[in-house]
Amino acid sequence: MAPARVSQTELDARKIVGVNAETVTNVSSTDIPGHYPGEDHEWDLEDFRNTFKVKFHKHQPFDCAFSLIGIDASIANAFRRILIAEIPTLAIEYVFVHNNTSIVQDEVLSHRLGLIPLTGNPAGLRWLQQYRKPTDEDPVGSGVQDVNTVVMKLKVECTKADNYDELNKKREDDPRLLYKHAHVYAKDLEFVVSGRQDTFFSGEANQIKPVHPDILLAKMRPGQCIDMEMHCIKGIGADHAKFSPVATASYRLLPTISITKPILGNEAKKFARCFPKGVIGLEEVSRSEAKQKGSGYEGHEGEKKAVVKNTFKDTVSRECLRHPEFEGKVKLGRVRDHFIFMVESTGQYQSDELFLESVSILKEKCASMKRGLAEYTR
Amino acid sequence: MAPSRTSTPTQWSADFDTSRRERLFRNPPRDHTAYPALVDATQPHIQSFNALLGNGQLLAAAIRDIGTKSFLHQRPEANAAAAQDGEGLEPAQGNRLSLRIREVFVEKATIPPANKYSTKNREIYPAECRERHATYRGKLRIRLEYRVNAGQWQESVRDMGQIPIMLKTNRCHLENCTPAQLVQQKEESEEFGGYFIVNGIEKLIRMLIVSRRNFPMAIVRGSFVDRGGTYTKYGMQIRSVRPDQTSQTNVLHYLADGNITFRFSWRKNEYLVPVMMILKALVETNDREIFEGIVGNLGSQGVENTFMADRVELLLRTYKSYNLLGKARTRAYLGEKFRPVLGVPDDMKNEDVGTEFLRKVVLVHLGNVDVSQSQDIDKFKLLLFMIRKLYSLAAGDCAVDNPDAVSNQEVLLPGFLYGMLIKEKFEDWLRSVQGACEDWIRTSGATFTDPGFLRDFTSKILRRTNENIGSLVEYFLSTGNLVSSTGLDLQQTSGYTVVAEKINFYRFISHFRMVHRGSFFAQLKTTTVRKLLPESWGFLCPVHTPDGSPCGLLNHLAHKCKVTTRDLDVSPIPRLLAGLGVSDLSSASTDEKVVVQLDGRIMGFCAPEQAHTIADTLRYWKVQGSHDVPVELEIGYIQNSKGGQYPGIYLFSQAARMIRPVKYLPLDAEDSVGPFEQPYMSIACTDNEIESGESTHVEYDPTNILSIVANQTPFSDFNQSPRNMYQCQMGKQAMGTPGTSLRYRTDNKAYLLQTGQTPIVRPPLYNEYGLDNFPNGVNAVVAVISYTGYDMDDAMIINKSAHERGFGHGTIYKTKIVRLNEDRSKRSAHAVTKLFGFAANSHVPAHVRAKLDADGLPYIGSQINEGDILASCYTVTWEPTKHGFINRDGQNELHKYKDPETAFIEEVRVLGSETGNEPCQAISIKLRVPRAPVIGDKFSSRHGQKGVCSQKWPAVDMPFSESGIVPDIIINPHAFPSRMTIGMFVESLAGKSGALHGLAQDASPWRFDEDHTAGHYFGEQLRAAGYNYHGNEPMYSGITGGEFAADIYLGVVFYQRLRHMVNDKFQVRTTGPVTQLTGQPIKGRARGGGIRVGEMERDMIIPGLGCVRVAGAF
Repeated sequence: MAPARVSQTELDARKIVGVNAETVTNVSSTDIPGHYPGEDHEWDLEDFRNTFKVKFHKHQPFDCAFSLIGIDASIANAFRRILIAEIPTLAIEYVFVHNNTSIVQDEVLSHRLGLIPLTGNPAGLRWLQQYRKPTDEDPVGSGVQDVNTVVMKLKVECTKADNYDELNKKREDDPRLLYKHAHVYAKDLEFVVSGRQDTFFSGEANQIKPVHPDILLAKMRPGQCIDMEMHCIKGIGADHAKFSPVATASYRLLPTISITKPILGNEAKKFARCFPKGVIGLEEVSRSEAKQKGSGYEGHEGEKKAVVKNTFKDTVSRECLRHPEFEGKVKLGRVRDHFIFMVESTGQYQSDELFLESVSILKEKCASMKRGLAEYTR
Repeated sequence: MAPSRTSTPTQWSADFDTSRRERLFRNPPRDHTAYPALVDATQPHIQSFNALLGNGQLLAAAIRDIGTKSFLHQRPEANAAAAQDGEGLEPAQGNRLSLRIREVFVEKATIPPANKYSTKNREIYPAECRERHATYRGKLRIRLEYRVNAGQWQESVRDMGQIPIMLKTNRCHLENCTPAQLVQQKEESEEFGGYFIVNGIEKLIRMLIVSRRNFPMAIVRGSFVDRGGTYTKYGMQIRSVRPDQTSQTNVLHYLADGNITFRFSWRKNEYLVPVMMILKALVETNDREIFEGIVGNLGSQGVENTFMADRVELLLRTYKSYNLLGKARTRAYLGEKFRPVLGVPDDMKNEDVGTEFLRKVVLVHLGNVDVSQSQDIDKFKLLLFMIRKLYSLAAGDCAVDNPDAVSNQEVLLPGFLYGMLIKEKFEDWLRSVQGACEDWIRTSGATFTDPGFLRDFTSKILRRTNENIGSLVEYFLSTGNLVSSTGLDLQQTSGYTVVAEKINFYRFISHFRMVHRGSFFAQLKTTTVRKLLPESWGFLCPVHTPDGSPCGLLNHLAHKCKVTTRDLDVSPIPRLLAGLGVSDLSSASTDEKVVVQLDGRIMGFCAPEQAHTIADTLRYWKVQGSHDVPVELEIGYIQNSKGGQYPGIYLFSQAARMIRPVKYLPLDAEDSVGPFEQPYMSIACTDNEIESGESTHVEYDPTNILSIVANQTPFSDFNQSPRNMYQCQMGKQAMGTPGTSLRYRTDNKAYLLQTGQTPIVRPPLYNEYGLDNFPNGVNAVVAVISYTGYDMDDAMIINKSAHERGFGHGTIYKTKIVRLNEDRSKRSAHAVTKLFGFAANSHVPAHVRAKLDADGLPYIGSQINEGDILASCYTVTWEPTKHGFINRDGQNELHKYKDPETAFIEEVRVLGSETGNEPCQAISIKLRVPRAPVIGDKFSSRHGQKGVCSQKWPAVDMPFSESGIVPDIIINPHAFPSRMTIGMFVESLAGKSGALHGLAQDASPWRFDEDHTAGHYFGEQLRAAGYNYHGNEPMYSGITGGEFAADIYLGVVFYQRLRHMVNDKFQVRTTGPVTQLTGQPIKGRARGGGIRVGEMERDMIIPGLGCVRVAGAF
């Protein structure tokens, strides 16, 4: 049977998820997404090359937003999931407490240390291998080596400031001035070079250090001290949230707004207020529109009408559907295959790198799947 | 930044006030607390204790009431002769020893003089007692006076042991400490006291409901009929309270023939006396006076009341049979009958015994010490009034007074009860001196007049008595059991004290606001006592009562309700009343004359129309503060009504009354309203409800009717009422912040939430009570969605990443005490048999050496598991030659950690003895058990919506919203329809918009109405932030990546982690211990037992599973 011909409008309609006041329609159009009975939708690389588009909206080192247009939700979601949970990063995993007389309990302080995002020479971070923990089956694991473990130290002691008496006389009550190391910050962490790590992590710029130097770890008073050694390893977010390289990695679908009947005058202003700034614009009804019979603009020349300017900015609050005057005049929806990604890195890698990393991981997974299948069918 | 010199502000806004709190926390105020509301919360406890020795001088009043005790010693033959004599005894026949207590002293807590080691600071502060597991107590001493016959009074100051002292009272070192000083003394900066420390445990005496003092209450009780043949159900009961706050209940019983008997309880026995006999004994009177006193003067309308006149006539006629004429003979008759039980000396004249009887038993509030004639007249008049009211009740002219309504109740305050107990122990002790004297006489063969007696009296005789009243009082506090010879006119013997548990701050504070109805009522099958009555409005919280067996019996004071702790100065009142036209002329007809009483004393009578004016005038004066009428005076004006409560004006000025502030409209000023007057007043609830000409008062705020804890439920007016009750319970079970001075506490078990937050949605009262110092939960992003199947039946899903970032992390602190002198019986310095450490030359295995330091104590910070060693000790004997202890066997005794859970050593305390001359015999080890949330732990929102964590769901699989928000918690929408906790939805909305705009949202109930709905208010805020007005959001499935077909309700809700954790509850075993007898697994989780699969469980398995093989196993 020859593939059925489908009109372009039908194809366009299929791409839209309907957003109503209380429900969302057409969430996934068919049992097998992207496939319709009697039609040929075989995946074709050339087709994909022609239709798939990537568009950047924001491109900062640790915060970027871009659109992937023309892929299926499953693929987009796979990228999202890999970004959050499967890109290995370096974080503190083992804490050896030599002494901790601060009021923060050992395990709580260790937990805080683990959550500190670390950074360093990216090449070096890539060079590091994942550490295999000893298990029952493999009691040795990979062993602590320079290629899989980064050692850091935290040794601080709180003492009175040199001019303590003078400050105290002035009734100074800021402990940060009165005492040295009253607050322990992430910048107090010290990197200890071991083995071949010096080729990558030597020098101020390249060494392993916290992304944000001012993360407060503990507060102390004179007489208290913290002395700890930490082993940082590479792990993945699925194991623990601290290994996740992103603060958020998420996407949304591009909203669509279609005004089906004219919205004019004050109603248009109100309509514009139903959306974030810049989504809806107000334009004057032109003469030609006013002349057009059946357009709904007859006799309204010069009045303001609402037009859709930029749906990208819409938050899909559906405020306009709450007002009876817009009933039947507007249709909200989303583009099914337009994913607006937001990737916010915690600082170890740059956001765009992370996305590319996620693509390569997916690729690797596919390859391994393929290998597995080949083995299975053999 | 130097601390400001200005006074610390005490006004709180509804905002977060983060920096202000931070400043207060870092620099506790040096003038006064910033949270006066918290201090007020425990005032009933503290002020009532202060009244014992402070202004009220209750103990002084108590020893006046005890009076002088005399013991007679006489030869046996003289005794027999006297018995024949009948009328009194000759004093010459024996020697008399008289005893009286002149003064009571209670000292602050100090180190005993036996301790010679501490010279600088000899004061003992509460924190030390907590840490040392000791009692915070001060020395109790009395000045005892005694004389033999008519000799000189001799004096001896006796040491009566040490009594526990309530914190922050006038016998506590912390009384006037500023927050800064409190912190110096290792207390909370907001420590408010009100409790005792007994063996290191914080104990408090619960407030108890008792019937209103000095008010004759009309009672109808079926059980009265059982007292005898002609007894009816009608009675008139008055709880008469002496100035020392002890009470004596008097009851008049109406008999079927119209007669009336007087009933009282004395030393736990009941006695019945014809009321006429009491009347005639009180004053010199005649039948006409009594008749007119009850019915009314000739010519008054009262005479037309034939029901009453007939019965009074009968009352008078039947009494004739006793043939007792005159006051003296009546008293003598009473004295003869009651001599055996009153404990008077044998030589007292019968008439004097009768006087003593009237003093001690009859209407004691009108005179209990050196009763004057006018006081006897007062008693007489009140008795006549009671008779009149009783007849009126029997005739059906007036209604019964409901003893279960707050209007007829007052609070038995902890300090007062404490004083009552001490008084009784004094009296018992004085009585016990007689026995000791007799022993002395028997052994020495001498008499009181011997010179040896006075020499031996203090040194030998008093030594034989149990002078340690302190230990008796301590027993009362630690067990809550009342050991009493008189019963103290109370209905229960146990359950007076409770442990002030510091699970979290809500629980701690509500202990001080709780009022119990009495454990007697807990066994009652009827539920009438548990009912919530409209009279409670504003005094007892309608929401804050537990469900289950104590429901309605254990109430909590509304947060603005106060309890008076002192008697007001009402000396000008009689003059004012006389000026307003109150006269002595009375009548049985209430249409003609109604009574005016002040604290159970008849001030006179007035016409009903006049009564209205009098009540109004007095109220105006008292709010105005003019004419010396105190504002806390309660003016109970009961209007005339057909068959309603017996009319009159009843003024109350004494302690133990509940009062609350409302606004008095005529003066626009604050008035204090009591529960007795409130039902007859017109108090508008809100300003809009004021009806002109009708309302006299208006509430300051409707939330005043709720307790402190109930006020913390956000939007409670949107919830189904039982849900608010559940939240009041769960708020008190949440893992929170028990305090900031945790380092100086050694609670058996303390729960700490690591990352508590201030709720975004909270009422302004949250700040006023300083609850941010003790956070109780966390703000969580909650999605209401049925997502994984793991959220059925109140289960909830926690985001695994949120959990890994520390969501709901908690810690349990446990304290284990290792005592070497386990028997703790009589020990001296040389009774030491064991010491901590390792015996010299003993073998110490490496695994022990790894855990313990050379002193035999564990290392701080080390991890211990089940079976690990906590401490080591060895046996010793005293070697005088070496002046030291030596070990002979070379063996070490190891103390093990027995709990199944891994813990860390947090602190080790070496406990010394108070005298300081003993080697260390006990250590207290504080252990830390980290408790991250696990599957099976219990969580709840603040709306009675509790649930168990069923999965830690990976963040990638969780749904995510348009803006990339992943919820922390997923709950099932089915939790809502049947429970109707709309408040939680509103909180979710408010929390979301509060988080978006950075607002602290006011969550007080009754701030919204039909025209201004909460949904609209918060919806507009959400809309302004670009979110959906209704709080819904489109979400994407984290698993498929596709959008959900429905929008999801997503918001921020404050979640509490409850202290019920699976780790304390799970019970699993394969094989294990079995009972000797049957070979079946033993019971009990703690012992490693199994859960019984009983017959019904078996029934379920066999047919349900159809398993032949399983069935075979049974």
